[in-house]
Amino acid sequence: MLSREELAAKLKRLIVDALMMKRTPESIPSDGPLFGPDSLGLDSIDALQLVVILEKEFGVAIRDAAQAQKVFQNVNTIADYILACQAETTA
Amino acid sequence: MTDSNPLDLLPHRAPFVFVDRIVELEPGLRAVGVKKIAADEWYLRGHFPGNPLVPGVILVEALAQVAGIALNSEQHKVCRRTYLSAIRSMKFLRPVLPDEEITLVAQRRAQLGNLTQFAVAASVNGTAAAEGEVVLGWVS
Repeated sequence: MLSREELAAKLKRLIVDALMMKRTPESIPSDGPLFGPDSLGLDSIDALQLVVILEKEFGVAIRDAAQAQKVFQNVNTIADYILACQAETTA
Repeated sequence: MTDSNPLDLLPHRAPFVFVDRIVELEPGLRAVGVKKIAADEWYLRGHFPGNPLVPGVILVEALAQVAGIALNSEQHKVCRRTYLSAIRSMKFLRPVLPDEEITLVAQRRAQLGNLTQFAVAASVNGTAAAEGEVVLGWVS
């Protein structure tokens, strides 16, 4: 199982690739906002792609928009959610 | 499949319907349709003179319409207006000729709020012609 930092680094790579961003994964702050003012500038269609990424890469589901809003605050909150889901599965 | 015509689930009408019929339908999840583009369609005169090929944008529209039928068949949400919100990816793998029967498949991949992503694929006689991912948005 990946550590939180390794998971965050992997998420950044996946985000840059899947959303075809013109920046390096390393330039994404782990605790910087993904949506809204002064953020990475993602939109609702990007959020849907994040749902696809989580399901495909980590087998983790997002059940609705309210949960997405919570989980998709920043890279760390996504990593924490994946780790929590993985801990539940292995418990 | 219900007794009603699944094509009625589309807001589109002639001359902008690019699905002839639906042959499989799992409400909300998956639809398979077929379409034959007639050789006398006006746009084939220019695409291309003496060498008519079904335009890629027509294939994309046909795939989006099949995805729209899959989406609108969920819980009989006929009154929803659906829109093509994004083409995440699309590859055209084989030219499609007039009068060839195109099989169009749309499979739901994810949903968030009023956006739904579908994996879509078009084929002719079992050979892949186009494949990609589209996002449909809807308003009630």
